[in-house]
Amino acid sequence: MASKTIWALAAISTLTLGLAGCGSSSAQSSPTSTSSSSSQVAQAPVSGGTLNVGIDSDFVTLNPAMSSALIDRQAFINIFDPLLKLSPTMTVEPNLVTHWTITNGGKTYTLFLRHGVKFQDGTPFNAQAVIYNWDWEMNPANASPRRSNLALVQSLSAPNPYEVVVNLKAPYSAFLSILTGRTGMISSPTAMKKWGSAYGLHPVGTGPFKFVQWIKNDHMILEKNPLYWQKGKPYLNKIVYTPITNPVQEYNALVTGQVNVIDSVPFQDVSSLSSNSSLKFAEKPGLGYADMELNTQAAPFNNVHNREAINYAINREALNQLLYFGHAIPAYTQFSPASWAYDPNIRVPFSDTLAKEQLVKAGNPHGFSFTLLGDNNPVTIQEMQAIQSELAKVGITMHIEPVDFTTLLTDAINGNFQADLLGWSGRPDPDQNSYAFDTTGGSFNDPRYSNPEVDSLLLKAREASSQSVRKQYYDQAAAIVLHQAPYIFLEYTPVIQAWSPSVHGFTVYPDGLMRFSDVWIK
Amino acid sequence: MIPFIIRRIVSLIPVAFVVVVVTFSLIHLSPGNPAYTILGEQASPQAVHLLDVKMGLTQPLWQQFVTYVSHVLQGNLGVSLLDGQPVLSLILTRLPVTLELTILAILASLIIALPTGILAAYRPNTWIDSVSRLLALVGAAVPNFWLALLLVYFFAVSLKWLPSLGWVPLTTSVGGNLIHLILPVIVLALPLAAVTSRVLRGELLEVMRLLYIQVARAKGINEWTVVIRHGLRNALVPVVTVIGLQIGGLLGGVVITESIFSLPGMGQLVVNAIFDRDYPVLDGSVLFMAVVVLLANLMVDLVYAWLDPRIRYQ
Repeated sequence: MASKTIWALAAISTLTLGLAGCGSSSAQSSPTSTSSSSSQVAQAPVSGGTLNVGIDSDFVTLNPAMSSALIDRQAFINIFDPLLKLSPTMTVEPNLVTHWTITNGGKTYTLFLRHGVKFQDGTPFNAQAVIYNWDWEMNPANASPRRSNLALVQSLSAPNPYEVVVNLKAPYSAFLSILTGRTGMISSPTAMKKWGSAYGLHPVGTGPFKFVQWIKNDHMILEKNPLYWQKGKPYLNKIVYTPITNPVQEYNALVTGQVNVIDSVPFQDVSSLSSNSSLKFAEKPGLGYADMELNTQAAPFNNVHNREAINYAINREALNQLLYFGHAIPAYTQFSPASWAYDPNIRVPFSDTLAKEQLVKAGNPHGFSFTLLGDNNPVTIQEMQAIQSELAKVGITMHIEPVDFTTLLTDAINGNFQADLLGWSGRPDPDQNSYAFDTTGGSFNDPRYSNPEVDSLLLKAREASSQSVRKQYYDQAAAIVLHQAPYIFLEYTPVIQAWSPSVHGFTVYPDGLMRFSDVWIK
Repeated sequence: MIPFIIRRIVSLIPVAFVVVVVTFSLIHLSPGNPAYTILGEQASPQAVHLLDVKMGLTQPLWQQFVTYVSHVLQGNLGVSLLDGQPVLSLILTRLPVTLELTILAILASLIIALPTGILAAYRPNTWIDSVSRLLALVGAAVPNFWLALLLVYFFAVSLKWLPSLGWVPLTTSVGGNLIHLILPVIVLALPLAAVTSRVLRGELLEVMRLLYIQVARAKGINEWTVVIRHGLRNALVPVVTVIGLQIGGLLGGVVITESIFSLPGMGQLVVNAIFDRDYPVLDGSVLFMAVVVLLANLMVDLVYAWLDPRIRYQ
């Protein structure tokens, strides 16, 4: 859901962009109550205090086994400690799983669990709890979105309380990476049984903060988990999340001190932030991207040359300047600069001449017309209009059809479209950003793209254990996908987060999740 | 009067039924499926089907409708498809926010509209009247989302006098509650006040020409007493009508205002339910809001009789 959700919610304010400009200039000139601490030296963390966090939409569910929205992960990362964790450079590190072995040609993963960890309800965290969670997620009757992550699991066993043995049907090099996400966030089986279908309103994990209260559309409160396994952490007593769906308002809330941290900054306000000493911010390449999906099973995009013509006709840098104020990076593959699989050399030039050549090859020297579906919000519509004018220059007529997000997703999944404008929030392992999207019959393969060579390359990449070997396969697959153009990648979206200088120990991650176990306020 | 009230309340039933039929049909016939909202990109056709079965969405639509209506008749509005919360409790936690916002907006609009309307009528075609007309024009013409952002810019971001968003329950802190509502109330009240003020001016001018006012004046009654006690009371009947008519529109404005100021009211509930295709929440909320509007109009009718005893209900 991820970047799409962000877009949908960001949209409400587009009509107010002019005013947003006013807001940002005021932020620059008006003093705030917090003092700058840009030159601070390392200080000892201070315990206590409440952190007020602005988030760009409300949570959907607090049950990791039933969640698919990016925003839910903002809460999960602090309520649930995943089995493995990601570093700020997106490498997989030990966490509740302290070490592991991979045997049987990459098909058997043995996970060794940390001793002495308890769930927030006081029950022990152990191998049985992990297996209980995964069995629940794999049970078709529970309709968990996590099921696809565990599709390769053949059997699970627990030789002792601190060891989980996972037998896979085939080697799967992204398996450890999956354990850093919601699949690795283990709920207390006692709480799951107690609350049943209402568990999503009463989550219990092993993370640094425990759930206290959630008033939908208003706020959610987490409190320090006294049973947390990392002694002395977390430092904060309390976190209050406030959903603020209007990005300008969210930014204003930070400027006025109503919140201490925000999960996204409107692109037009970033330049004012960098000159504002009373606020801090960081900008990092994100894992996500925006793209057009072209239905390869329907005219006109069942002709590869029509698809390729669009690839050449779009000036991605111009889109970046217009819509992202220069803060995005033009995209050509599914692997963003935050990923080890990123290759800046895989790209196509912006060229009307090459686009027209492709149109001639397709047998449409004067162009063709098609309809692009997009989310009905001003930001997306602006992007669609920009693409429309780019394509018109080479004779391609694009009709814009704005629909609401649920309809867009339904049509995309059902193949009921010629082209649509979507995005993907991205995952740390390249397999999670490519395999299900590009392989024949893949579960996220909305364009119905099929190429045996790509299938084979992505399967080899998934089964290989060496990162350098995998990278070669991903490069080859990405180059083919780029030129066959079932997707027209547009831009990689950055993660930009801002906070007040009283907040210490906060790090911005490429996945955009705000981790608060090390954060303290002074 | 009592039979009238009973008759009116009974007549709410068919209207409420029509509301249920229309809402139910529109949301179910619109494309999209809550399973896609819940499952997101990871929605495989099999997963969607399983979830549809679990949520009872594979049954024929008429069957779902019959089940829904029979539950509503037993006072059960169902549970949210997304998180399993009972719809009634979702509504009841949000209703106080919207009701308070609406009531305060009407009161604030009267505080603005009564003096400006009366002064404009008392001194027609003078500078007072012109200023009042200009204010009314601006009030009616300015879109409330723009006004909201303008007020936030001045009073929250620049001057830092008022919070730009959020909500404190009245039970937690009366001051905190009111201070959070000042900006949203102004946003809602201004357009309402603009219309009310102009209607009041016109009606008052009309009334002041009537014979009984001249009689009152001839008796030597103080001019302000004539205007307020004799004129205003009769001029208020159309004003009440306008307010009654605007309650529906006001609830529409509340949706936008609640979004901008992040207020956890009915408006946000309805908007999210539409986007998520959370059928029970949407059906329940719309039904509830329709009943509130109908009851508000009933109250308007009762206020007529109080204002003008000549109005009798048969």
